[in-house]
Amino acid sequence: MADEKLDLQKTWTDEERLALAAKLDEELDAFIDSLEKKRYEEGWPEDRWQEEMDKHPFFMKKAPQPGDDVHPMFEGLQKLKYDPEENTAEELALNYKEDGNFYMKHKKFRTAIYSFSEGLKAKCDKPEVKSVLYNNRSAAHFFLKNYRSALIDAQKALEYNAEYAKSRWRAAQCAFYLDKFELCTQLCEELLKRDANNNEARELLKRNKTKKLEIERDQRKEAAEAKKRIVSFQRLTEALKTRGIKFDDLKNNKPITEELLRPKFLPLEDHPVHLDSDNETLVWPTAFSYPAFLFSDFQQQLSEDVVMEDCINDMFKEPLPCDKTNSYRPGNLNIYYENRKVGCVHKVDLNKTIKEILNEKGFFVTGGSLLFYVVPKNSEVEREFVNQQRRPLIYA
Amino acid sequence: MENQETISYAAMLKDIVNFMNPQEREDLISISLTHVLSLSGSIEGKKAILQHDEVLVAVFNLVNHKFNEIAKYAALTLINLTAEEEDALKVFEIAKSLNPAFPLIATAIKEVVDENSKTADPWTMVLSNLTRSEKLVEDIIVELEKDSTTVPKLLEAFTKLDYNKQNMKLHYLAAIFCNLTQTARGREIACEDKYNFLEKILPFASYEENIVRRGGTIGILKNICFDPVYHNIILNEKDDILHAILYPLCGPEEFTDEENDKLPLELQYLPETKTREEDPDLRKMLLESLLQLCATKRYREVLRSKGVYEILREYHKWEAKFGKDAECLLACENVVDILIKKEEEIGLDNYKEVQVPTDVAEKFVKEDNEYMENLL
Repeated sequence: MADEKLDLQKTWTDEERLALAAKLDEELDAFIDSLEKKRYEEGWPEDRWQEEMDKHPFFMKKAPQPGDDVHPMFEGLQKLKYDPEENTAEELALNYKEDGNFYMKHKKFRTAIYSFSEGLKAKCDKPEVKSVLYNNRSAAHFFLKNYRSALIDAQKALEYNAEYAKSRWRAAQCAFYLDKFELCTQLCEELLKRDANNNEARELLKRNKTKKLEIERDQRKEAAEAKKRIVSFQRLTEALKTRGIKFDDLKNNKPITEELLRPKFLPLEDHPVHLDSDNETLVWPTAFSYPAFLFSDFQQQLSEDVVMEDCINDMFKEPLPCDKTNSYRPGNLNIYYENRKVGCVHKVDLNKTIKEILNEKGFFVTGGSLLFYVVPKNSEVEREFVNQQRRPLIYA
Repeated sequence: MENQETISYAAMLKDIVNFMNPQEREDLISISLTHVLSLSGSIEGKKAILQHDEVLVAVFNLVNHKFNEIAKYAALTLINLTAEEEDALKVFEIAKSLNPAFPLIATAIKEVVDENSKTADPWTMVLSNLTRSEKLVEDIIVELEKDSTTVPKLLEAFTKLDYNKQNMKLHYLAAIFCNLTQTARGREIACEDKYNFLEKILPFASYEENIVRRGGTIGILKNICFDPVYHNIILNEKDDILHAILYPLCGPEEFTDEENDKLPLELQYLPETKTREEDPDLRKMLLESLLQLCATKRYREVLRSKGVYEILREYHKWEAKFGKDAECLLACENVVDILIKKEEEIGLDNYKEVQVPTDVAEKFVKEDNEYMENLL
């Protein structure tokens, strides 16, 4: 060994150096040539280099989503950062908190929620860590308008840190959006107690109060209207009962319902039978059908005091557009109604009022409405209409 | 005869005072103090006690006694002794003149705001008695403002119904506040932004459970409405004060949708179970508050736009038929008479600036009285 050292320390001339360099070069070449010839296969193929680049933890632009295959290097890094064996509970929690904050900055609120939740799962006992994680998860929920979850988390944060102003303020806002008025008032007052100049809290307190008053007012209004509806419906059913009005779709002893009275003919739908403003006169939705033309005219609000003849005269002031023979003229018309229960028709006495007609034994209200048939007197249409085969309705 | 009685009181009180030393046996103190307390309940006895400063001093010395019973009796005695304004002044002066002075007001405040005080209610009443004298209110307000946390604490004690853990109700705080707002400084405190005073006390104008609390609050409203300086401030408080005044005057009558829209939010679509303030004195105070608000044009316009006329229309029908109080009816008509006039007819901004000669004023009072006789 000592000799060699001496040998190394000998002074070299330039030629000797060059000769040695050439010799070494030769030896290296010989070594490389002696290696087994093998293709380099670990490189990225040209057509997929971009994909590979994206997978590489140094170059990737997107965080891998749960369920994705991760690059082995990424897995390694993950292990360093997230493995409970490599990290203390606090380190883990803080790592997840950092992740969450990063996602928050990039408005990835759902991913942020996931990170903060993982942070909480790390079971770090320090209240300051827990309060921050809850507070931040609350913020993420808040941005997603998950006010219920945001409120729960903000309150949790306050449990671990009673002076957490951000959490208290967020809790107050959540309470406002959730119509938890008492809670919102309480939180705003707590904020103002700690900072009398907190104008945001003062403003929210006012808005909260107004909103509460409005909602309460609306509830009172609704209750008053519901009551009115019930009273007026009772009056209506009373009026129907005293007149002995019969319905062909009402089974015996069943009460009259709003559904029963809802007109089933589309043009009449919004005008169910009701009492006039005098609370005495019934106003009926009425259909006049023309068997000859297969269509109907509608009177949405026909007072029961109207005499049928006046009604008809009024309707046929102008001729029907489809009436080519001009037979649908006042004085030349017969009106019928059908008793579907027994399957027969009745001719209407034109001098009677609607109320009187409804009082006849064979008249039934059908589909919440009055239904009349209009035919020219002594016409083929009339004969056909009257002689038509009708099958009586059979009730089970 | 009377003289003799006074003398006998004197002799007895002299004896008793000896047993009222805080170091005495508790049973002796208790018996003698009970005696003084019962004496303080009669006019004669009260007179006698107030003629013997040493009795009062003895009572002062017992208010902090470790036996709650004794401390309570001492405070109750002070309630009786301060019931009349003149006597209250005397008690206050004696307390002040002692060497060292007895901190009467400070003691009262301390007990009232102490959540665990078992004598908070008697002391609230003592303070209520003392504040009734305008001569004392100033001193009392100075004491209240010595510590900036006192007023907020009193407010909290008033608004939080379970503030006192010993089941003291503190209803008389309303009377104290009412007395305080009879002075300009008191009204200033009530209307200052920093305490949020009005907003906090307003709900108690319709506090059904207790008439002292409710009446005191309505008294505060009336005091504030009487001072046009604050009309602008209370006008800015959204409809808070208006709602507080009108709510007890509203009944279950239905208004049309258009009428409802005019009313303050809280008064819209009131349920058919709504009842009116049952005490005619309080109804009258509310109506008088409204009349005060009618002083200025700006407020008259607000009152008209908020449907006050509509509410009073229904109220008047009710008062004539069910309430049957002539003074209330007149008070209601006074407001309505102004509201139904057009501003062009009124032609002035502030009624309070009108000078009314004494003879005319007297005539008005006479006419009002005659009118009231025929009202019902």
